[in-house]
Amino acid sequence: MLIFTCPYCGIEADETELTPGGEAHLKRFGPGSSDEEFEGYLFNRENPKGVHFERWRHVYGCGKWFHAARCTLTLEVFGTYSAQTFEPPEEIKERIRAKRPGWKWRNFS
Amino acid sequence: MSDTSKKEFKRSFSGYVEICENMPTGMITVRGDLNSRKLKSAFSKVVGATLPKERKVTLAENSIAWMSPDELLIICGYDNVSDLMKKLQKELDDQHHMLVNVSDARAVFEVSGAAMVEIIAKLAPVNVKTLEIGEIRRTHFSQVAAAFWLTSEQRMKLICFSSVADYMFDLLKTSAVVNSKVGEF
Repeated sequence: MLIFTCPYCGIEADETELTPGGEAHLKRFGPGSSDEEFEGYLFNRENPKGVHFERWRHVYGCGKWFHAARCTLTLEVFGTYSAQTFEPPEEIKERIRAKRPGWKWRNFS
Repeated sequence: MSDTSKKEFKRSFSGYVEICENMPTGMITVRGDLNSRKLKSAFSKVVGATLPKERKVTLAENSIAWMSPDELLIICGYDNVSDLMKKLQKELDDQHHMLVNVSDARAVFEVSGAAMVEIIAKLAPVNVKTLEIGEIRRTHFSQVAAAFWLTSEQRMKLICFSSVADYMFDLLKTSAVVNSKVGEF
């Protein structure tokens, strides 16, 4: 079972208390962007076997959106962090580096 | 509305724990910046209680429950709601906030008995061993959203939407049927 600690209320919430929100750290390309950029924003998603970053909402709890870093293969959770950020905090990246040397996800490694 | 002044509770059930649905309680949802001094002073002045810490419920005449980093729930007498809201509104006049009377949108249950925590463990994805008295936990009981807190080691209060009160009562009843005890706690 997938269990995330909500960074806003500190509760260890299991998957049934959460709503998945898809991939994290997407940059929006709207009016004025090229067709390729817009297509990429709409459709291109990572589908990794291993380290992944996602958005989740603590829907049955405090109702806040947050980010989570986890492994899709083992369901290991590397950490959860605030939604008000463009990239994972350094400590979480460091933790992943220790556990999955050489990992890469979009621009992060 | 029917005359509810004489009854003490709506309905109850006796299994291996006691379950009862309380009469309507006054509830006000407050949204705003919980760290603002203005909100704090308004609460101590009007509600007569300090703001609860994260995930806590202050148990006073008017209890206040921490619902999320920007939301509180005032639990008071059913007839005091409009008075409290008027006073709070006046105090918070020039500050961004939201007050909503949700008294009739909620149902309140009480579960008591030595095996009370087992009922929680049966129905909610909660690690009951980490629960503290006076700590509110928002979660779901089977299929419906609910929030509960322990008022003592053998008693808990639970609130849910009144639209699912029948479901909640049946759910608690079924899980408390005599001879269905697991005996894990």
